[in-house]
Amino acid sequence: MEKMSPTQNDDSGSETERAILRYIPESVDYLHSVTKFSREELKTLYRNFKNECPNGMVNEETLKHIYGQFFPDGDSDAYAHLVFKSFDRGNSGVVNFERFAIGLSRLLRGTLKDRLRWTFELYDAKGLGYITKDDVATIVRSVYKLLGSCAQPQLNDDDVTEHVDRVFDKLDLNRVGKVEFDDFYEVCTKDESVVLSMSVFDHAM
Amino acid sequence: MSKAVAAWLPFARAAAVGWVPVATNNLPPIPYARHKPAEDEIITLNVSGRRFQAWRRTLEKFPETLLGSCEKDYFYNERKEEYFFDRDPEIFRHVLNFYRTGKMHFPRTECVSAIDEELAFFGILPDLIADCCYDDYRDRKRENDERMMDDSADNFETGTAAGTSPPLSTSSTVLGAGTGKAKAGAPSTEQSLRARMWHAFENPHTSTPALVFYYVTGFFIAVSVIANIVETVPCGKPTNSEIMKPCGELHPKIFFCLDTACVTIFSVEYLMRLFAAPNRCKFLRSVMSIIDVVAILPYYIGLTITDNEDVSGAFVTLRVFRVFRIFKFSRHSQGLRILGYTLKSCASELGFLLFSITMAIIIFATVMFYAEKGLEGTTFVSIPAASWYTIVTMTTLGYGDMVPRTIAGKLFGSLCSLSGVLVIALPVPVIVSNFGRIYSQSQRQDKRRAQKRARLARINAGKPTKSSSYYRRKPDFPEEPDNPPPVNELEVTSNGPQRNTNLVNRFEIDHFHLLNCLEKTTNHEIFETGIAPHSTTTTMHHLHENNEPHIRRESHGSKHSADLSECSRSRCGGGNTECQNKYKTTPFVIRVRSPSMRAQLSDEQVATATSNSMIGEDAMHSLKYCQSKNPII
Repeated sequence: MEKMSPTQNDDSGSETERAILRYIPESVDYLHSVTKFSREELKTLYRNFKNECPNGMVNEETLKHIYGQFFPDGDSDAYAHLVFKSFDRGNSGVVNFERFAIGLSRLLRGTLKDRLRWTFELYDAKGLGYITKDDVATIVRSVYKLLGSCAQPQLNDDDVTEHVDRVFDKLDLNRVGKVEFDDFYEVCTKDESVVLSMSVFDHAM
Repeated sequence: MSKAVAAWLPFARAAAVGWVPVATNNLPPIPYARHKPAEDEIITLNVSGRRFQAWRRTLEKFPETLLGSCEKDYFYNERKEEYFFDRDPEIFRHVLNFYRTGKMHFPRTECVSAIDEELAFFGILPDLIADCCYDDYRDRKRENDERMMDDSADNFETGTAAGTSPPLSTSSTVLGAGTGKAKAGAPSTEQSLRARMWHAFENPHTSTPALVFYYVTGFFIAVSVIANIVETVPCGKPTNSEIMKPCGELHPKIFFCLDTACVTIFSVEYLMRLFAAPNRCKFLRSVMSIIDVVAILPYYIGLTITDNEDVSGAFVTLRVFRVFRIFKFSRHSQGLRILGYTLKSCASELGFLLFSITMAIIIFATVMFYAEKGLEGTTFVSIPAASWYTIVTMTTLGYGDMVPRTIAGKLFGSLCSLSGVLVIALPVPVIVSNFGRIYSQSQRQDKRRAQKRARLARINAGKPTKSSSYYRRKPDFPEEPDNPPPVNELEVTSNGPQRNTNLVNRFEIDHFHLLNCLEKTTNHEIFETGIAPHSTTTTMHHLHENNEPHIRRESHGSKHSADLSECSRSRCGGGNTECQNKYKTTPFVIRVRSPSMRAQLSDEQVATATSNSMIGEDAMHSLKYCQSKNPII
């Protein structure tokens, strides 16, 4: 249950009187029960979260900024936007700590299926239930943007397009033009490298 | 890369899950085999009896400072399990806040030099002082520095590079020639003649010959000016005439001799200054030198002109320029210099005054002209003639040589004098106060601009370059997950409390791993474009840059990176294992700039480069601890 405590409520929307919402997260015990993090990990996570977002919520700008710090040469906006949308399923514009922690738990401590499910949802930005080639292109392009301008060998559009084609061909077994989750799951679990790479995150925190 | 964001690494890692299905290659595993969740603990800092406490992670956000590195272990009190610092607790509060918020605020109640000492002790650069407090800090620091400079016996150095030289200081010339280069040090005998001469010219009170020269030139300037004046005084009748003639015509030879002597002295002085000037072009362009030239040139031009009737008029005009010799006094008088400087800076105000007066003059002159036009024998013969009346009336002079006689003329004449009072008397006090205000304001503005420039330049130079740290120290992540590098390579080799270095390096490893995953996903590599040659806090020394074959060795001593010294096998030409061993003992990592060179790098080149960069363990340790004691401010 979310508790929002507006310190100042105003509907006129003027700049100076915008409502300052504060978000108080659920208790540590509750989060411990719904995520696979230990109490200590949750505490550390929240403390760091609160340092950056004292309101208890992170909005897209902040997330983009934070993500961009890890890829200083690149343009992380595109990918960060997609990640934000995947955390903010309800399209509320902010991600509170619970969603954040639950999302992280799914990714870092979840099963392969959980991760693949999240990845599928990430790719499926429109929420249609299937992935098209455009979605794959969006993802691949945003990942390439993370590299930045100083990549070797030099980036060109053909590489990216070829990459997109390759990935989509791999995923779209039935040659239907769209990939549903079951197909996606099947392809990925059959692919050794995907399974292996996913297991990299098994111990991550 | 702000360490404050290090806390969000788990999130970044989680987001990387999305790369997996599109990855071209396998993602490398996390380079430490066992997952040790580093628990955070609360550290107690006892500063002169007052206990502060903070999370260890908070302090380790800035590993190049004392509290963030293992330097603080020297202050560890085992019995009480706390760190004890015998420093000022009031200032330490601000220091600790720096770790918490990332911004160092400057307390206005404390003395600047006390703050400086504490910052130096704790290894925090003054550059990290927050924007809100930085101007204040710089101002106070500059005041302090200036006061110290005044107190000291040597008084050569005046303005700092960041500030403007106060015009009241005796050893600077605001309009002076080549002040920028005139920062000669102490006039020692080793210095060249030119430098010594220049120094003597600019700072006459420092040595006796300079003082003598100073007074001699001053005397001759006075003599020259007085001679000019006396020349025109009528002092007697020549033998064959009834008319009083001025002295200049009665005793031309005396005055000519005087003039010659003065001009000789001035010429010699000018040539000497020109010779001694460190930057001759700048000197030639400076105002004082122009004044000098204008003062002595008429004489030489007069010498070349014969007693021709036509040009004698021009010759007389030239003599007018001799009066400019009086401006040579501005080298001797600071007040004159200040006046000139403020006039220059108030030029726009003066210009506006002039413009508005001109407008008023034209308007009233036109009106008066047409008002008096009909009258017989009027003095207002034209608009320019009427404007003379207007000026005289508006400035409330009222010579009386032109007087309006018509009623309309008198009406407008009175209007003119009333408005004159307003137009002239009002702006003048405003301009006078503007003098003071604009003067000090422009000084402060220039100061702030120069400060900002200098600060930005310093920060830019010192900003730890972004992915360069990754690129510089890309560890070798194994291709196969079942062949991870042996764990002991990653453990720190030195003894002692190592918990914090573990954490710090852990973050680096994690970050590099993330970037490595990105590389593997896209099958491209991250190279950096701009590389800062060094970072201000962490450079211990540069190794010379070897242009061929583009090997650049840099130190990255801010991290205790004895453990992160694996060389990436792919970098060396040919994947030799001995290369890896060589790098183990040094934190310097070879980085190859151009990928084509990578293949060409022979083993011996790498070997020589490594051996040149090898430094013994002890030296490394002492260097590590040295750098936080002497941060480069």
